[in-house]
Amino acid sequence: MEIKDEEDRGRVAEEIQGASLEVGRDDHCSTENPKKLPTLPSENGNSVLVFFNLLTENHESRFVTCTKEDRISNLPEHLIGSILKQLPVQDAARMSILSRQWRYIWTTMTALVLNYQFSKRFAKEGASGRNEFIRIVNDIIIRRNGPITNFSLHIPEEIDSLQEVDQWILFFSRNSGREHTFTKSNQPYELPNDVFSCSKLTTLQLKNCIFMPPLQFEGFPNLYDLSLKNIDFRANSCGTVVSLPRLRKLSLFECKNLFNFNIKARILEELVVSTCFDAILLRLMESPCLSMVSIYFWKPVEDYVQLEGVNLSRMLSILPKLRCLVIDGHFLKFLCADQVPKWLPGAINSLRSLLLPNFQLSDLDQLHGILCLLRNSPNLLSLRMNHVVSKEYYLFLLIHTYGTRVGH
Amino acid sequence: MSKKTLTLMSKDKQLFNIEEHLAVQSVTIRNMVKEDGASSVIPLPRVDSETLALVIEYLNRQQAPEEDEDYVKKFVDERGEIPTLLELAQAALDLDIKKLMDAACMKVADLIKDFTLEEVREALRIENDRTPEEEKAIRDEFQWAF
Repeated sequence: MEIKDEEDRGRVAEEIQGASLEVGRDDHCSTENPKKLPTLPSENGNSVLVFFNLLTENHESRFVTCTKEDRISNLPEHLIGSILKQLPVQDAARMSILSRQWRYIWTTMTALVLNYQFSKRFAKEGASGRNEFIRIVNDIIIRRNGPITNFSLHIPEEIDSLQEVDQWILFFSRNSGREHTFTKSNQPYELPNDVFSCSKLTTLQLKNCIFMPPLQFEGFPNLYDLSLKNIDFRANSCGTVVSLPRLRKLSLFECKNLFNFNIKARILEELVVSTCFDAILLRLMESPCLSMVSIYFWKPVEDYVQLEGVNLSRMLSILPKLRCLVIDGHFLKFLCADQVPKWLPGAINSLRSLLLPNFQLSDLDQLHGILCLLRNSPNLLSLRMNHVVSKEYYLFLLIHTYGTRVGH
Repeated sequence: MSKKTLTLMSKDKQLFNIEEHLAVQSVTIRNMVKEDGASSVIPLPRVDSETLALVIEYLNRQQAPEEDEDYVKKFVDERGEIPTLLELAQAALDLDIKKLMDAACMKVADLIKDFTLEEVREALRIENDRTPEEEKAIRDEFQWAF
């Protein structure tokens, strides 16, 4: 085969590379494609590899000159990658059969999503089902070629021994991971220390885990979005201040022992708290940049231990930049359990948008609280109130409010 | 002051005008403008006129930034034919308009996700260059995925 120009060189290189990759796996491939092998410039295995690399780096340029017909049958790998990353991992793996060009692209995806749907499909009951699930995940992870920056993992209840899971997390933490979603069904999972060594993390979502950082843990220096659901902050993490210097959004849902979660987040802008009843609430709000705060209790507060010194005027006094406040009737009632003053020490000048879900007009405490909020918010532009709503509708409102510019 | 206009030329030599401040949403065009001022016609030898018209329609949109995500989704939804979407994705890749490319690829993925492999090959015009033995070997290797 003669190499005529740059375009052909690129193609030859690609074919050679395809062939060479098959050789390692599968002997019959190499004997079927012997015609490509004589074009190799050297007998030395190492230099051949270098040659491949140099040419494959250029091979994208071949798409610049090819014709439309050519292009349709040979999509650029970049587009194939963009299509594959939208598919569940098993479908992406399945696509490797389409053609030689498609063979390995799925292994280079930077996102690895083994979510609830994945575990529902592949985790079967019994020991053999469990082993099969572990085998499949190991198979996927071993084939990875290149960094994984985004890793989602749902551990199904069938997995009772968590050794493998710890290893998967270790693999991810060594892989310069940036986004991590981690959920566990039934029994809570104690996060291994490797999670806390992922210093490049920018987004972390945890569900049903025990959060107990090692003593020397100082924080996640790059984290900007943290979402914790059903997390138990065990006592011995007490005293460790978790430094989150870049955190902008913090969401807490049904977390236990929150008072052990001692954070320092100076530029936090958005806080969402649902069904957490710890006295920590005000401490969490000690971030001078907080502009969106949503707190909802969903249940009447009588059932819970009274939080000392938490009231409406104190809460508002530590939120100088508050623009958007979402507060449900139960929490508002709780904040107004003491006497609500007619005028707060300072007006809430920054407040533009107020959303009051789960509100009962018949409750005098709630009514007083709302009147106090309205009276003290001279710059309020938008107000929404709902007389007891479902969780789903509330979430819809929440998204709607944050998704639209305030004041529209 | 009148706004500066650029002229783009499709593969089939049709000319399209677009205001420069809108055209530079394409990183490729932005770099061209930066380099030589791009006063003359910018040729796009791989983009046909139908696709370029779509790209220009997209670049000319008047959405507020926060409505943009919905707009680009709707934009590709309305052009739900796979060949058109692939052309659009390809053009967006060449012109480096990331949002448009991602949305078009997402739509393609959405359309092919329930296809059989043969249907995917047909829809994306992929030539099967494997022997049945090779295909079987891959099938055995990834039994779990099939």
